[in-house]
Amino acid sequence: MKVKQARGWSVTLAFAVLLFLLVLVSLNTGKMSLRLGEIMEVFLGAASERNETIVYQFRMPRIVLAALVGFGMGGAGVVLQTLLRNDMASPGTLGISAGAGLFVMLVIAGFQITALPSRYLLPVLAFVGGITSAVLIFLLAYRHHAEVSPTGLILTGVAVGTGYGALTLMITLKLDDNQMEFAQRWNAGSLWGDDWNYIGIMLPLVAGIWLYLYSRYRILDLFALGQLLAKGLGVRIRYQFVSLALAAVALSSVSVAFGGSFFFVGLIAPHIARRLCGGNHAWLLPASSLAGALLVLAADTLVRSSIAIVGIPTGIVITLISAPYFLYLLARIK
Amino acid sequence: MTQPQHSAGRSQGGRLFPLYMTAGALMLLAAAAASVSFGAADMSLATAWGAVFGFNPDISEHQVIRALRLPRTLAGIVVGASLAVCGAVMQGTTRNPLADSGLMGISSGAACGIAVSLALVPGGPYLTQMMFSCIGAALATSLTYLFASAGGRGMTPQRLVLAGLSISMLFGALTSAIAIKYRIGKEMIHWTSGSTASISWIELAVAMPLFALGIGTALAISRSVTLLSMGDDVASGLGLQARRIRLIATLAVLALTGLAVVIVGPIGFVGLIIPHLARFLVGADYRYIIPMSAIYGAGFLVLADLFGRLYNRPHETPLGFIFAVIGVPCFLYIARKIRRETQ
Repeated sequence: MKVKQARGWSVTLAFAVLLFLLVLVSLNTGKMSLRLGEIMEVFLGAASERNETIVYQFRMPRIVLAALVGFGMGGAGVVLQTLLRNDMASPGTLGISAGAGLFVMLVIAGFQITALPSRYLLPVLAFVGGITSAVLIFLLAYRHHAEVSPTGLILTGVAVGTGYGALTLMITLKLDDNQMEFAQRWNAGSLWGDDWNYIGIMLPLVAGIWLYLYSRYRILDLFALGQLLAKGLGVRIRYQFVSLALAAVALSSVSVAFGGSFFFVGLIAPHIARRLCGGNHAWLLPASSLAGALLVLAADTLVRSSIAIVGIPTGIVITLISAPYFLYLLARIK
Repeated sequence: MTQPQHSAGRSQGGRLFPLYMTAGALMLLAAAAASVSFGAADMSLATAWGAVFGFNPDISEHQVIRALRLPRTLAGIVVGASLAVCGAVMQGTTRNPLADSGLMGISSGAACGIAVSLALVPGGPYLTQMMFSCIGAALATSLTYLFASAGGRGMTPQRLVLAGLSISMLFGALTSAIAIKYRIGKEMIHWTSGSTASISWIELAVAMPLFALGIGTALAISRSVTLLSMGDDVASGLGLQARRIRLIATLAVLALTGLAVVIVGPIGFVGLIIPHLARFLVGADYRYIIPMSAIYGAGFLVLADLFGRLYNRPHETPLGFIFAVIGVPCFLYIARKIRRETQ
């Protein structure tokens, strides 16, 4: 046990260091190249105005957004997997992202996206959409006196996600050209909210919900043992399950609202973390969140650095990287 | 799924088969007639009849019917029959009630093939596109089957769906990447949203031989598919070469899916719903299910296309949307039924 804890601690630290390095690399990547020294100057406040604009107005918001989206997705994914005791659970496979996406699309169709009130409306409605599909999926997969089977739940999630996708398509067709382009980019996972105004809304939400989840890591550990055992150990199952699930849905909805739909991040990041640092949520939750942030930021940096794939939405790159990994997981399931 | 094989039900299905076929054919005929005469501008049935059998180039309505409505209706028939027969053959040979060329990722593989052909051979002939489409379909199918059957307990329906889902996301991402990279997004829209609107006679003419071949093959092996659907043990006990039949069936599925995607783009759920409807009506014998699927699939797609044109006129509602609305509840119902049976 002690060995595992030491390992979880070191994995989390390693992820954090990697993330820091990746942020530095990412700050250097882009159409105009800056040297490391120039970036240091910017942070020390001794750089030219041009360099400051590049770093603070263009690169930093995007990097922070990418990291936040991945962070939220990775955290939500690990909580959902533990609560449902299901390796395949994630905001994407359960259709929660699709539900949040539908409501985001409604906001785009109904309001001016740049107007201030809709900025605050966006995460709220995304959450409503995410919750709607979570409840719908639960009702459809739930059967009296029988445990919900893992694949059954995912199958339901996939089907509900498809239905939501079709409705989203329907709304997309009613949009004008400007909104349509935005909707398409959003759908492909384009990290659209790279603006300090959006990050100002997103950062406190993600941080708050995440800290709430982290404060319950012991309860998550007990849930991982199975509901029966957790109950025996004195956990108020129903209350804890519902509040933790709500928080996880909220976390993923906020990420979806500002980042776009990243189907696989919430699925892959927990698996990487679990494999490296075991099942102790004190380290698993931060490690998984950091892994998600790394994944999204790495894909985004790749998109911005390579001429070959420049202009391709980040989500597409993530799908191309992580779909094979998902297939590998699928092949390994007994 | 273990197919119910009580002989009484089957012979009854067999007795009613001609009746159902006649009803289906009449429905298809009525749907086709409606599809030719209704649309952005309504025309009388007599005008439609005249355009088909006594074509007069001076009448503009005749022109519209000849150039737009007739190929569109024919495309609906071809695609509907192809997809439904694909679904039936796949459900039988893989003994998997959730098999469907859209859900298995085959359609998105075909669409990706088209994107590659548009990027590499821009402006190439339809035959090239169709070839690439079939190659893409073949690649996606083999990948889906490979990952679904790898690992411990072999290919379960659920696992096939999940493998199909990720394969179709993978090919979907590849398609969008290619579309953005080579700036063929506009050309690809036709193949990603699923529409019969811009069909030309040439496309239909190229697709026809493949269509005939695919449907013919499916009908020819229908007896063997029935045996395969009872399990490999039964099939080989009765002297069937399971592997050879599976190969032939897969080739037919690839050809039919490839041509369907070239004509309208990836459409899911048709191949899932129609064979289940047919099985409900005529029992578990694929000698009846396959022709029933062809007729009802064609009628269903023509009707859905007509609905898409009439609902919310003059805008068109995409086929993909209509099928998702009908298909998702059916999918959920079927998935739930399997779980009940396996427990």
